[in-house]
Amino acid sequence: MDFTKAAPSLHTLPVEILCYLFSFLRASSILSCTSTCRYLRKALDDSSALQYTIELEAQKMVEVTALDAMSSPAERLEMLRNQMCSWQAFKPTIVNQFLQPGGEVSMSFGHLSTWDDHPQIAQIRALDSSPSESQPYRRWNADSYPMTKDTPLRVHSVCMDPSQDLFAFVVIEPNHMAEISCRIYLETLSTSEPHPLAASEILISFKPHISANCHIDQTKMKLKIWGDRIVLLSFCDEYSACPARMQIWNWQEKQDFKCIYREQEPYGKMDDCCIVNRDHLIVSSRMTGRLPCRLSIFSFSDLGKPPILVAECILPFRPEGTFLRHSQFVTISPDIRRSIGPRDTYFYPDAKNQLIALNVDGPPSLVIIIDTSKLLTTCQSGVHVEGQSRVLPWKEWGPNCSRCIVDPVPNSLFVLRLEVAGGRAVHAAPNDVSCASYSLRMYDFNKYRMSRAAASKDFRGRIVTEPSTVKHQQLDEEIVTTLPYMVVVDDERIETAANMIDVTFDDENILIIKSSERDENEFVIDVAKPSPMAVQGK
Amino acid sequence: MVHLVTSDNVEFVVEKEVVERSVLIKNMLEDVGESDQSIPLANVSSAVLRKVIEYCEHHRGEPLPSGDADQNQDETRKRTTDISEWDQKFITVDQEMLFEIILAANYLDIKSLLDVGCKTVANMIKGKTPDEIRRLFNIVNDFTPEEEAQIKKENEWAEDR
Repeated sequence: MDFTKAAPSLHTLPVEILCYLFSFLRASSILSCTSTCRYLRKALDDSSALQYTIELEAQKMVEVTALDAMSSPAERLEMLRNQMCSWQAFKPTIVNQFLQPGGEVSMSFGHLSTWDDHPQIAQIRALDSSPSESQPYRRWNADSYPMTKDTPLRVHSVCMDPSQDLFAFVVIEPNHMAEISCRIYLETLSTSEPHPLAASEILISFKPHISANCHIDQTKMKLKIWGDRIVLLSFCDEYSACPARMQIWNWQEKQDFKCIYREQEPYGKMDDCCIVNRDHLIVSSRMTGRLPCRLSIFSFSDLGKPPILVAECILPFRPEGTFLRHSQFVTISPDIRRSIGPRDTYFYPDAKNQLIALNVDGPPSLVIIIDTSKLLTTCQSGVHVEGQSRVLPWKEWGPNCSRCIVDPVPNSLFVLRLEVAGGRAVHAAPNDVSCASYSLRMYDFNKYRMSRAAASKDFRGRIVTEPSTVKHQQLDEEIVTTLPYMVVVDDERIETAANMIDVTFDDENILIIKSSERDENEFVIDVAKPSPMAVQGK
Repeated sequence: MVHLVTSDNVEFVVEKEVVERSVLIKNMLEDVGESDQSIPLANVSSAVLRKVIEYCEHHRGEPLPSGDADQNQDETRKRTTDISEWDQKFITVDQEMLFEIILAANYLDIKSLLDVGCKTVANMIKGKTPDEIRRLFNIVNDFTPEEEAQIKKENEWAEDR
């Protein structure tokens, strides 16, 4: 056959059109095309731009590029690949230490945020600034907030998203009527002005209560943000007959659409939630009369309608003491660019369908790490009855979508410190009951990074694919989990004089959070980085 | 009116507003100025040009996309491989014509038409295995079994999602 005169087809298109065509496809489809014949394969081999697109998607990362960026796709590809390897030579050397008010800690987009409830202070700090500039990037104090009324401002939940320069907080309107409404303020992090993208400065939650005897459980309000989506979970205390409520808005949309879900039973058992992509969120709930502990998957692509309960995934344990961990803030829209910084391109984990972790109190404590994209696929496959959610027993989803990790020290009362961010998890466990030293481990659940590491000659880590069995007094039965992972940092010992409270990390830093001896409301935070040698090395 | 001559020597007389959806022709007309001279399009056959003109007629007057606005919109692009109803009907042609239109749109520099063509092919490819793609486009597998096994291994991470 003479191909030069043959009718034009996919495998005769010029390379530049092919690359453009491939830009409409996900990596898996591009790779399917490039595995059909040599010509299409060569198009991929010759185009570093195409390889870079695939690499970003494979590692589930997004780039943030300065407007005047000079780097070529080939250079970015190399940066991204080096960043992938950088943790493999990690030794915990503390490169920076600073004090931060206590409270809830979270890290994303190269920023560390803390929210302290007593007194109500939010603080945010850029982590890439040099150690000498240990000034906080921004400090927000509820006491200094100008209120129109004479009542002090009491904030019930905050959410800081440095990737969108968004600071959102919930205030319950002081009101002696039965109907209490919540207000969500949307401000910029950098200036505390109304956020320019917000459709209105304040979102007002609907009047939730059915009787004057209801009391909102103010300690349990949860506010979560994912891109243009915002979710408020609110609960009443156990003496109230109100169901827990979940409300979802598009905070950038002028129309005041919000989608509301009320739990079926009074005294809601919803605990926490996280948005996993633009249309889905996961709620963790405790045991109710009808169902044991579970994760409920909701879909809310149309905010004009109530969220649809897609599935309820049963968890295999009984206890009350669980909490959800997830990285919540890295939603990067293409127009966010950083013009400053030593590099012109930064990479962050893509917010879509990342890992979440469920911590279960001990002793010994355990963590179930869940791959949310696998979980969503599992919930959406199979037989659906219109208008009905599915109840998935643990065996139908758990073993495949998760991996259970137990505190290695038996009988310790210590709560396992594990954080997830992107496709990775970092875990700090004490070496003995005295807690004078800890072992740090990093696990990577990204399939692509695992396959590249397995193919590399210098890989020194371990890849765990075999099932693991966990027996625990909090578990109904022995559970087997199989989600594959790679141990990137294994058993790195850290000595701490002070008590470690938590550990958190992003793609470039691990932060070890310790209690301060001087002031119990303050944290001492150690920053550990992979060595720069490893970053530059091949 | 603008005179265009195709590779098979057929002359088309088209309104300037219509033909200027092609950035190539628009630039040519700007360089040359008004003239009755016909423009030869050596890479485009009459059958294909007829389709292209049909497309340009329908979309006349719509704003042309600016050249650099679409950088960095990879994500939105990937999400929307949707094609408007008229375009969908327009592009329902046999495979040969589809690729001819893509080549012509690229040559004539009509970005929106190139998008319609590429999205259509992308939609045909989505979710298919390499074997299905080979059958769909009549691609001959010229890899050795060893190479094929190697590629399959490299791409394993992207499967089942």
